[in-house]
Amino acid sequence: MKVITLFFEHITTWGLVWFGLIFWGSIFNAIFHYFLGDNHSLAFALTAYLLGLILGLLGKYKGWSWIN
Amino acid sequence: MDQLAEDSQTNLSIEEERKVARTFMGRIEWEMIVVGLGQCIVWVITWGLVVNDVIPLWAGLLISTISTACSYLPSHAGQHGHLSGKHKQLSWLNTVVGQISLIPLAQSHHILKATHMKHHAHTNDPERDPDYRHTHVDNWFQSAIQIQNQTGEGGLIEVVEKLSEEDPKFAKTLETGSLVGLVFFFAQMVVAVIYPLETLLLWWIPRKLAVSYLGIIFSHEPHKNLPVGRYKDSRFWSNAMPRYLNHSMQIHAMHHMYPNICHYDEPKAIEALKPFMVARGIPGAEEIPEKIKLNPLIRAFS
Repeated sequence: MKVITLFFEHITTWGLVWFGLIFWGSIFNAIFHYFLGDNHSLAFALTAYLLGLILGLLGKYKGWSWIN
Repeated sequence: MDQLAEDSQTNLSIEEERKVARTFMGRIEWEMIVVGLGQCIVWVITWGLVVNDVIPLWAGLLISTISTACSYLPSHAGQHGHLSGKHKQLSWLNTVVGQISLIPLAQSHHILKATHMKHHAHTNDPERDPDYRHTHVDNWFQSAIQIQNQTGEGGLIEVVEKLSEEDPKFAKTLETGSLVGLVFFFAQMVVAVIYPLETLLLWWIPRKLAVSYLGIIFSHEPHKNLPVGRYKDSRFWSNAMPRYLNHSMQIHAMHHMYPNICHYDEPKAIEALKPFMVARGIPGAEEIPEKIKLNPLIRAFS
């Protein structure tokens, strides 16, 4: 029960950041592939997910709930 | 019914108004069940067609945006019990169809029902109406933006906290609904990992567009610049577009007068209740045409 409560608290606080990293990171990665060709470079993927993480952090600290 | 309408020409008492209104209540609104399940099926099929390269992604975006715009109203009908009508043993239809219909919007039926009931109880109250912030703005653009950030800082949270303190049952319902919200939250992330561009163009963008459309057409236009109070908080309006393209929100004042009347019965109910609406001073009521057909409101209102 305590684990579930902790999980909910974590998601309430950090949900937008996870959403930025996973949701927007995946989308930025796909957009890179679409425009830059099927270049499966690790640098592209890292950049995409880093951008997603930054968007998630901005969402959390600037109150941009629209990113979700 | 005609006799009742005739009697109401002379007797404009509250009792007579309720008697006329009751004749339009209690049926199962099967049209909303069809729309609710239908639009969700269209949305799922669109996903299938895009993923299997049968139709292009841009076509999927178009279809999904239109179908998602139709996903709230069936849930709204369920929130008011229209999907089961007077048949209490069928009340599960309200929740089940209401929740299925909201899948494209990724929203919880329980949360939307709880907040919508508070909207009815406190329409246009800046401290208690959950829709206030995207309703009482200067223009469509502000409404469209405000509704996107309603769960952010300074948005709906303060209102929800106040309502939760006043009504523990409301708080409990939000807690139940948040579980569904969590499922949608994770579902979107999982689907985005597998189908990123499809998730963006078939789910995220359509639901953002639909939510802005809902803010403008369902909240801002019917309630903007109006005070608190029965018969005063909603108006008849027109934006020169066919009534069905606005989900008939031009006649939303009828819904606030008697929320138990089904959406598809509102035109007939308005025709019967027009004398009462005029007598009570509902904004725009004097301009209601004798017959409400496809789009008679265009010429009547501005």
